[in-house]
Amino acid sequence: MFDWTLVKKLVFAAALAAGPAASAPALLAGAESPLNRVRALVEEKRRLEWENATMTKELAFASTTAPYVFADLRQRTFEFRVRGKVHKVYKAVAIEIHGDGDRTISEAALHALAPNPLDVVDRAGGPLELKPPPVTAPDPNGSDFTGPDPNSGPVHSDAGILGVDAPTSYDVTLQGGILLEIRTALVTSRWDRIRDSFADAARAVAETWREWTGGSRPALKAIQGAAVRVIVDEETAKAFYHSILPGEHVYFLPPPPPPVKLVASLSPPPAARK
Amino acid sequence: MDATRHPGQHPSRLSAPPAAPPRRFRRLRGLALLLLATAFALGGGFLALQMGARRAQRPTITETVAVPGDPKGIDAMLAALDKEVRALQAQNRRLEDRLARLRPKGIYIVIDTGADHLFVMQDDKVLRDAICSTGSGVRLADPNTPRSWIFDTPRGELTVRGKTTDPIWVKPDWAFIETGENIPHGLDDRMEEGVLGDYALDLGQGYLIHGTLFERALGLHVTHGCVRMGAKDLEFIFHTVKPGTKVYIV
Repeated sequence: MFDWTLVKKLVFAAALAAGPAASAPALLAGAESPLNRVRALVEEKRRLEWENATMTKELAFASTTAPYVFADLRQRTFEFRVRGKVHKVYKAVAIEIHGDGDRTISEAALHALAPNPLDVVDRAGGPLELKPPPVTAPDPNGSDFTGPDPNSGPVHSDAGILGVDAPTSYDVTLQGGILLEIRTALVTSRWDRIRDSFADAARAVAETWREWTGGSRPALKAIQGAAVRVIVDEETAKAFYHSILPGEHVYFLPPPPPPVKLVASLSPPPAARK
Repeated sequence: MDATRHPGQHPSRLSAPPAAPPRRFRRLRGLALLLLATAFALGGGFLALQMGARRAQRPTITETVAVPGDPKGIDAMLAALDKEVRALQAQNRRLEDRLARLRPKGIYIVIDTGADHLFVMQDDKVLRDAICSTGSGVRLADPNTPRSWIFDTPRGELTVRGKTTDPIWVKPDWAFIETGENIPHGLDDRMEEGVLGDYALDLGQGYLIHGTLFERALGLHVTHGCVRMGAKDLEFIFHTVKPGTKVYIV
């Protein structure tokens, strides 16, 4: 009598072995139409190329002992890294990108404007203020205070008495005319936002019209400078001020690759040419 | 009898032209049409804005890829793409491995200059989270020479070069300039005992992790670039880390 159970077991074992062996691209493509497989593979290739470029860039930074900042404007994060490891992250409440005349510009326009990474050139935003210690500090006359009276000597910046408080509204100047404007409140007025949203809608309508009519995309206007306005809470603004120093590299993470649109090629495929 | 009248025809329709609607009714009709047109315009505008807003959220840029028209060409394209994707995956794995090799392992120190915290780490585990004080960022200029100092804590990867107990502070020039004192010539006049706490870890270039007399100022940006710690935390760090331990300051 033929043992079907054994055959079933063998088939199952073969399927289990074949599963992991199947390549990721093949899995991605699935059993869909060839065009869908092409699209999936092209998108996967673009994503891998994007990852590759980012890691290659990071490897160059991580090969040195210097710290660097990865700025992801879509996620609104600033990651402080050394040797390929994220040691701290600041998250902004909002990020706006402004070009000439304080008009909102796209992230692509910002990337086109300057090389990446950008070094911090300057950090300015008013004089540092002297700040008394918190009221919860040990009482100099109390039993938990073991040191000499810090108020007896001359008061200067490092008498161990007064801390230095950082500003909460300041500008970090980067190479290529790019400013990081650190603010604790949105400075764009309601009318500016309405104007920008109307402009966005008009651009979108024009884009749709161009798509329908097959018109060409207009070239990006040359922008002289840009400001990345970063809205954070007060504590983050102060901590960020102390964290970022002139000379540090800021790498603006490029936008991920766009979706792929397939079009039929008019020319015959290479194999068919004679 | 009227000869022109057809049977069943109403006399008024024949005899008089249709009466114009009253003026009041015309006005109402005009107003209704105006309201309708306004509603259409507003609705259309609203729809356009909604479409625009939705469109603005979507990525408007697409990348166009030409695909051959025949199945053989598509198969060839698929094979080529598959090969490229595999090659990229392998390349990315190599890059990831190289990055992983650079990342800190074992016991190391992380100093967050923004929050004034020092972490003693073992791989990804925090062994100690201690409050500290880091550089004030204040600039000091020498009134007699063009020299100036910015009191920032250095950043990046540093190494613990050595450890000492009962450290003595050899006061640099800025310490005298800051307090308006004359800079001494002899080394003995620069020595100051008992101000750096019980222990010190040397990070090179004159920067130390050390103790302080003023623990109440911990958590503030008050130092000339050194990292000040509380006595208990400093003792833990001193006994946990060895010379050669990496220190990451961000």
